[in-house]
Amino acid sequence: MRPRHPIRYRRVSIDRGVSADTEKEEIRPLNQLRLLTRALRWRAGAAVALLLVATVAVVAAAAGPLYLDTANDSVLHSVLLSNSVQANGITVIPQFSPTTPGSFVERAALVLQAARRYGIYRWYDQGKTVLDAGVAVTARSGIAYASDLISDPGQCGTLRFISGSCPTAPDQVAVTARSLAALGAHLGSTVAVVPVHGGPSVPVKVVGIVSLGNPAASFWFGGESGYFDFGPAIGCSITQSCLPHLDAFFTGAATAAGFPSVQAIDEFPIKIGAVHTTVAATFNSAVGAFARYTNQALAAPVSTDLGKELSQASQESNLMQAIVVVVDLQLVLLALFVLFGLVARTAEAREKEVALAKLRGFRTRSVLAVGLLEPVAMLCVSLPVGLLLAFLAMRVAQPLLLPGALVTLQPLVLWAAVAAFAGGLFATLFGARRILTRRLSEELRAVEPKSSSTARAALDAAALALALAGILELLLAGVLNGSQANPLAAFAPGLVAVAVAVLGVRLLPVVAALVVRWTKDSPRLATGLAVRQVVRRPTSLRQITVLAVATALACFAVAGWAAAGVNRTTRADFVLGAARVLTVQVPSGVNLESAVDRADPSGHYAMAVMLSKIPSQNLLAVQVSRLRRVAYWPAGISSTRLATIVHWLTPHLQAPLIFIGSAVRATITENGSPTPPPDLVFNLVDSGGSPGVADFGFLKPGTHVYTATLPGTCLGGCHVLQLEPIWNPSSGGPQEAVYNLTLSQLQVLRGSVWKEVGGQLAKPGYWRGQGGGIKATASSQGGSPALSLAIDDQAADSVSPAVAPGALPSTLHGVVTRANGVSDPAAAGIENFDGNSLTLDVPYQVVALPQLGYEGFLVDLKTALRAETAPPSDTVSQVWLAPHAPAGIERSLRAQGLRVTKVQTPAADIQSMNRGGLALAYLFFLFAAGAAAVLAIGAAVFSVFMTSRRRAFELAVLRAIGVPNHTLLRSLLGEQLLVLGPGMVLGVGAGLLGALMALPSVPEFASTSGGPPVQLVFVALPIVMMLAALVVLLGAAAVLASAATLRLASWDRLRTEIT
Amino acid sequence: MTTTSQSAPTGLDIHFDGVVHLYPSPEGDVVALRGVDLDVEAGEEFALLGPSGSGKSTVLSLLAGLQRASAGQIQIGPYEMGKLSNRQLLRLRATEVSLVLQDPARNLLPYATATQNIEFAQRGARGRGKTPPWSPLELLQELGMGPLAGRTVATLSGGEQQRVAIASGVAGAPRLLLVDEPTSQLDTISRDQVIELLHRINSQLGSTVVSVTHDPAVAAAMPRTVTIRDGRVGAEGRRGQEYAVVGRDGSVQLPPDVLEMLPPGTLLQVRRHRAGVDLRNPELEPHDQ
Repeated sequence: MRPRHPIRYRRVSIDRGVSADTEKEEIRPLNQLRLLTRALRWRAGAAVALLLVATVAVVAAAAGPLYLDTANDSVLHSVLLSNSVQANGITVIPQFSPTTPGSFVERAALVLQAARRYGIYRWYDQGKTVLDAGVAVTARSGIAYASDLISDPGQCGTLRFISGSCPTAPDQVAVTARSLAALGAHLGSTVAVVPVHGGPSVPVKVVGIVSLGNPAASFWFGGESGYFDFGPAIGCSITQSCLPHLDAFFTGAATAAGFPSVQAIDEFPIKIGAVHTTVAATFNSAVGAFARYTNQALAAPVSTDLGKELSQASQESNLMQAIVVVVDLQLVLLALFVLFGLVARTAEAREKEVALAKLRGFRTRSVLAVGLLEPVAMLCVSLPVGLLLAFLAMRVAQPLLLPGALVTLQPLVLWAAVAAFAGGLFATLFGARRILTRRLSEELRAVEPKSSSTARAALDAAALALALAGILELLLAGVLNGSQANPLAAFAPGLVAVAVAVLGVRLLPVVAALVVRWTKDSPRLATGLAVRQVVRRPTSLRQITVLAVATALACFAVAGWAAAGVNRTTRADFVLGAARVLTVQVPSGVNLESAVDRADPSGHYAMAVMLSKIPSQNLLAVQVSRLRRVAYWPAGISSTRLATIVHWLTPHLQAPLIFIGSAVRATITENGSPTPPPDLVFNLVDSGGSPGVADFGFLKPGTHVYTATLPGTCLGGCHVLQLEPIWNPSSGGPQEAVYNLTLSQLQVLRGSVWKEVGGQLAKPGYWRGQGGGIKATASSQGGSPALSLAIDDQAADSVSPAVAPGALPSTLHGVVTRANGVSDPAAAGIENFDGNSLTLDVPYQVVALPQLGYEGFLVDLKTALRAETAPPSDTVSQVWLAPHAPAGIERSLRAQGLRVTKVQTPAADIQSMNRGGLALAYLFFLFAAGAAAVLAIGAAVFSVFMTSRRRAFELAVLRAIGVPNHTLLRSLLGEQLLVLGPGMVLGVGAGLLGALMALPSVPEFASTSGGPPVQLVFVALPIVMMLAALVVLLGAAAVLASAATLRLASWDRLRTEIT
Repeated sequence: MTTTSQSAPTGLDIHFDGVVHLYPSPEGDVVALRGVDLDVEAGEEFALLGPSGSGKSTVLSLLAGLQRASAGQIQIGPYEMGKLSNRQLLRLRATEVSLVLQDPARNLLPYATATQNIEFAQRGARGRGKTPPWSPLELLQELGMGPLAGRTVATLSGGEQQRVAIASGVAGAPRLLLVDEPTSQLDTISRDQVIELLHRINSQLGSTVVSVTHDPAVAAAMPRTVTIRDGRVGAEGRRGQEYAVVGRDGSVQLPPDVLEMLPPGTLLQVRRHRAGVDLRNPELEPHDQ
């Protein structure tokens, strides 16, 4: 035992310390860690809550850019997948250049080498050189055809040979059966092909017959090279022959290369899985360098639509990015706000420790450590955990939502997570500021902090003012007027919710005070207790703000997502036109309308459609009688009822003049005797659209019987397009001829029998003059009805005068879209499928037409075809099927001779749109809003639990005086619901109001190119389901929290103990 | 303790000179101390007594530097409290003066062991460059609490918690230990243990110990007691003998039982004699016929 020391002061400054042997503070990190661990275990609930909320903030922050990266990739892939292999790929065609050495073939080989050198194969499959020589070939019938002599590497492995084999030896070819038939040749025949740019003919031997390939298949690279292009001539230009076309002649490389007209085409199909947004810069740079080289060094320009596609993907990505950023920002801010509230609540539990640290004279940094170490530790844990969770969540979601996309941790993701962490630090510091700055003497004397009602009122006023200013700014800036898409509109629901919630927080205590008065004499103890607790602690009502904002966002997100989904489906249905669309090839001798009529006699399930997407035409022709039952015609595209439109479009035509047979004859009287004599022909078109003529030859003066041979395809029926007198003046002779023709007894040879077909021949008004030099009248000849033609033909006319049967309407009834800019909506000039001009009566206008979108004309198919005076060109034949069409209808259509080349359903389009940028943005919004709602509910319940936990002593007293447990539980539950219920109610109202205000301006709704007008529909079921889920979650959380509070109210609580 | 006793602290003396303290209040300032004069020798052990609201805890908080006196002067050892800045007061609490609050819960980390609590309490001193002369375990053993060292505070009884709380108060080797109501919620056995502990701290560690108490047993166990009444030093007890104290202004606080006999306003006759004075109420004296 040490004796007591006498007083021996060393007068030293307190600043320098009293101990001479001043040492540095002993740091014991392990002990510190042990203490921290114990503290976290002691307050496990708060620690877990902090960790969860901080993790949500980090996940939310990281998920935004992570999702954007992945979704951008998905959008890019989606765009690439929706385009043809040729559009995605690179085509390099060497051009004629006197300064560039080497043939086309040699330069094409150099292009392939350059592709390797420039690293093109990282993103493209191995390139191949296709040799294509344009040739002409004459059939045994004398008809000349155009075709292509093609050598495509790998063709022998891809073509399906019906008979024979793949051409390997020189001057051997393989052709399709239909080309062979048109040529009148057979396997083993030798056909002479002539290079289109001149040169001697080359005999080639047919060694194989191939079946029709699908030109859309990736091997054929989009089929633009005319592999399977059998059909009539398509216009006349330098590149397109006026001759009807045969399918390609497939030959070996040596044969094709020997043709002077050969072109070498390098094709590089894209590897979609290898192209990612993350490599866009490298990709663009490499392709750009490659293109510059081939163009400059090899005179071989690169053609690809990839730039356009990347631009399209980029546009979608930009829209998505704006929405995702807006949404993510709101979610992160909400999470940080919740974190702030949570830290403020849980800081109370550490208040005594902070006071103890101050009492023991800790340095400021040590006091901060005591006050902040736990939340900061949780924050530190949340950073890697949040990043990992965000990454894993995206990896899990990627195959389900964004197949094919790449999930990578880009620096932006890390920065976003760090930013959220920094925000969390700030929120933590701000939330704990009270316990850190409170004076120790006040803490020790248990003096309640000065009332901050004024500060709260100021804060509320500021929040309200900011929210209202934000809404006003959005309104004044035109963001919410619905005329233009603006992703900032997504801020509106949050702002509305803040405004509504702040007002609600201020009004609810007043309402609760009224309820207190009503329950004053109520025997219901639980209700009375709950209401009084709410009135007693009105600050707990502040939880309403977070809950209301989160519920509003969830409500808005679900409403928007559901409405967007409905509109996407509507749009997909409309863009396609029907539940199922078959693109068909109509073989020669088969009539599309008749085939459909026979396959579906009821008229309920199928509709024949022909359309042209040439900009000057944009014509959609349908079987009008089937339109209502088969086509998708959404509400809102026209103010006129569909029945009225159908009635208007329904044709009232005279029967066409059809020749079915092998020859036609007529008794013809010629008066006028022009020199030289005129010729008379019937211009015909067979049911497959192929043209033909029946030529009576030169007409002699007087009355004679003339016979003309009909084209072979007229055995299946040929429509008479025109009756055309042809007069060619002789040189030096008169340049004008005026004469009359009278036709009667028109007959067609069917088998061996001549059958009368002239019912319409002498029908008054049936024939209509064209060109002004001819006039048709009904008359009689020898007692028989006859057609008289008064002809005044001038040699200067380049077109012979002709008459067309009345079956050919000169004016069509139609419907036009508003965007077509028809100045006189009553009559619009259009081009028919054959390129001839027609007048369209258009009393009705619609917003958009199926498949054609905003610009187009809708007419009756039969009328449009009758109005043709030439075979149609560049049209697409389709059969649209109703949703409930029987399964066998496709088989029936095939049985009628139609060849189905493509089947489309809206599902593919819906899937594509679902993977589009906007849909993905909405999906993100939905998940984010869901997360926000769960977070807010958790935070609100936790907060109320923390508040009521402080009343554990009071509850224990109530138990001690005999208040039953179930009454206390009901009271606690009632209190929770009184605080949280209004939050949800206000949130739902604010969310729906926000949806009404903002949805018309959100891009998904405002961008409607090509589709029907979007409808702002509130789909009740998803909203109700979401609310039900939130209510269940809230109820369950409230019950658990109330039960936990009640457990704290034990007898022990009545004794003084350490808490 | 043999290893630590060489650097154990010496106590600080205390001088209160006309100390007045007011608590501001919207209803008007509340006077807690009305001019307290008090001298405590270094290494002394004494108790502050007095009824609730008399100002005992205010004296304690002034001594701990938690508040500043409204008027008057407080000198603790070499430090004049009124002249110290907030930082210096913090340093003082970390190194020289320690206050143990009434509720043990406010002095301890409930989730930590006794050792960890002592170590936590030493952090203030260590942070100021002062190395306490004993380790937490040594201190606990020295104060007879070795068996409690590894136990979590929350699992200790009230008396044990109070003893650990007092031990944490001396963890940083303060030269002045202030203890507020150390036995208020304890049974007699625990109370005696706490009193014994305070004696050991005073005798073994050399610290000046000031206890505020209502407990007569604690008062009786202290060599010196000072009673605060109505914000003044009313009486002083030494070795079981109670004395009235004459204030600087000549005023004397009468004990409550005397005050019942002589209510305020009573006219007294003062008669001086060799040992002091007699105060008599003439109205109560029998009149000589």
